[in-house]
Amino acid sequence: MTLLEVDNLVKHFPVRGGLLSRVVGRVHAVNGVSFQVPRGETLGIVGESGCGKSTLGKVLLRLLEPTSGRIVFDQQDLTQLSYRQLRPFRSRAQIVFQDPNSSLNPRLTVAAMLREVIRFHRIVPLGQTDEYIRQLLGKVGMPADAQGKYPHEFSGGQRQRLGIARALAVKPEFIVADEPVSALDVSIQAQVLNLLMDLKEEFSLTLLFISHDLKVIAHFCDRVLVMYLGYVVEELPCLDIQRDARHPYTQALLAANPINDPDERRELRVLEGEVPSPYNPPAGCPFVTRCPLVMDRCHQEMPPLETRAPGHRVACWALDPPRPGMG
Amino acid sequence: MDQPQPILSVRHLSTCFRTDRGVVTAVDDVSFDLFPGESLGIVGESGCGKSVTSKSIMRLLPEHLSFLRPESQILFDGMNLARADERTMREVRGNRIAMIFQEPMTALNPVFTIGWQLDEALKYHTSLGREGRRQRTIEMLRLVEIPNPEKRIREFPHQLSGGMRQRVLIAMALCCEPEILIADEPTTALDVTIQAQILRLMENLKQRLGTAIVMITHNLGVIAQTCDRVIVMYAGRIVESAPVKQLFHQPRHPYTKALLESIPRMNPGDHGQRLPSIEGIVPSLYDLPPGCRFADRCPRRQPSCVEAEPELEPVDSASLVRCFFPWE
Repeated sequence: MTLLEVDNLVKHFPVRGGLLSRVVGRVHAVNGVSFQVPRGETLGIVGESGCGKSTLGKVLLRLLEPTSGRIVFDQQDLTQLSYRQLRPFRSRAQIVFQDPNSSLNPRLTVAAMLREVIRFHRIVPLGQTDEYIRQLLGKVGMPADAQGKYPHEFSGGQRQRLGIARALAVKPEFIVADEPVSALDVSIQAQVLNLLMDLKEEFSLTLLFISHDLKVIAHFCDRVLVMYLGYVVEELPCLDIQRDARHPYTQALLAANPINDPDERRELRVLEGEVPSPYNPPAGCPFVTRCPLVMDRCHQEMPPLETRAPGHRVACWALDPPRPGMG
Repeated sequence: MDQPQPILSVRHLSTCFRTDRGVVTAVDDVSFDLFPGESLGIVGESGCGKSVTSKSIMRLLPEHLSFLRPESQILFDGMNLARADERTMREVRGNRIAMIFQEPMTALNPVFTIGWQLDEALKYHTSLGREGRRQRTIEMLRLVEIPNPEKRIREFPHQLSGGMRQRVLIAMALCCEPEILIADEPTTALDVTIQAQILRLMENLKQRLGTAIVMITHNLGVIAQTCDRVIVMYAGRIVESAPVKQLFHQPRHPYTKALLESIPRMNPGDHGQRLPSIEGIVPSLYDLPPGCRFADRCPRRQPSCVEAEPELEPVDSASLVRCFFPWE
């Protein structure tokens, strides 16, 4: 069953300049993205900086207002709701941010921070709040005496556990995790990933996992959207991503990833050039400036995201056209 | 057969910081050799002392906050840099040992052009005339594969992308043909496709110029792809030192092994499985245990591990490990 359905979502940021701060251009952060997330799935979003993955995550929760498009959560179009009407949704969908140092209020103790959300959304009766906080901290692997402490008294990994506890406090169904382990050390990353995996199981969560690290996504997610300059260029299952990836950008991401084997010291297949600015994107396919398979048509028209296999969509002119009957 | 002579020998390097809570030893009795033309990796997590090691070698740490213990030696071309005065260090820094940093935006001066900043290094360290320096600047930018170097030298750092800035820093570091290049997390701030470009560039330059490289990173993949020999640090100590193939195929220290296992491998068989993780956290440098610093997180811990700290000892001809019960 589909929990979240996104249809042709667009987010442009105006760029102001000049003496009168007129709008002089637009940054095309998210360009007509459509996808579905079935209940219970972990969907990954991968891409390099500036590809729009974090903007997409925030727009989905209406932490940023979409420019156009529809976001349907459990059969309700979020884009039509007022802020007041959104409140019930806020307790059903939460976000975990990348940097737990800036996303936790340094002036609130752990208990005060959690109490605030729990009371606002009336998650448990007033008298049970303290007991609920104790349970919650236990669930994310924090000691009970953490309650009276302030965020600065914890290590980075522990702070990220607190960020997860805060998201979990409202008993959500859906969590957007925006680079939840990128700021953490390698040995701590695995702890936090395992925690997310366990919590997902225990609370039947649906997860949207945003990361620049294809290794983490491939391991952790069921499916992944690969984004480039605001477009989804490929959507595919993660089980055997190295075998299945078709889009030249996805393949380049895989090839550029330094693997932990000194025997396989391949000539890192290097993508020339850099990501163009989303302020002034190329016409046609956004990947034309770096693509090894580029053809004339790529400069003129953006290829559509076409279904090539069940659950596998690719936007590329250079691949053979999909067989009829697929999708 | 002649043993090759190391170009840099670090002996018993201990770097301490004076803090409000007392003196902490961020790098504790670190010794290693760097040979000509070699790539040496130093890997570890935040706070393990890898960056402090490199800044100690360059003597870039603030003197009012930090000091090297008296037994520390940094031997380079007959000099002990641990004792060298500022004038000697200025001759060495940039000219003979160069360094590139993680964040290229803060390492470049925002108010001067790229060309001016490269020119400054050449002015100080070479006897080239104005036109000669300009030629050399353009040649260096071309060497690091910056398109249109004649135009780029008139641009400011903010006009360049992150990858381009890191190329400029590499050009700046290499313009005096140093014998040693210390790269402190050179690709950590970059996207993975740009990281691949920079790593390839460094590899090509090493082949061409024969520069010895010290590669400091937390990314084991980068180490596997670029280094000849690896030092693993944990809480200020070297815990293992080995040739790169040996380290990845047969890690001896339980920390090294656990670290390698905790990284997802994109192997369909492991998909969606729990990752082997290292429980607990790194001990605080203010409150180090008397025994092995990894003991409370170690799967192979024995009672003796918490009583005394193991020495860094050879396990075979090429590797050293600091563990009473290393993996075979």
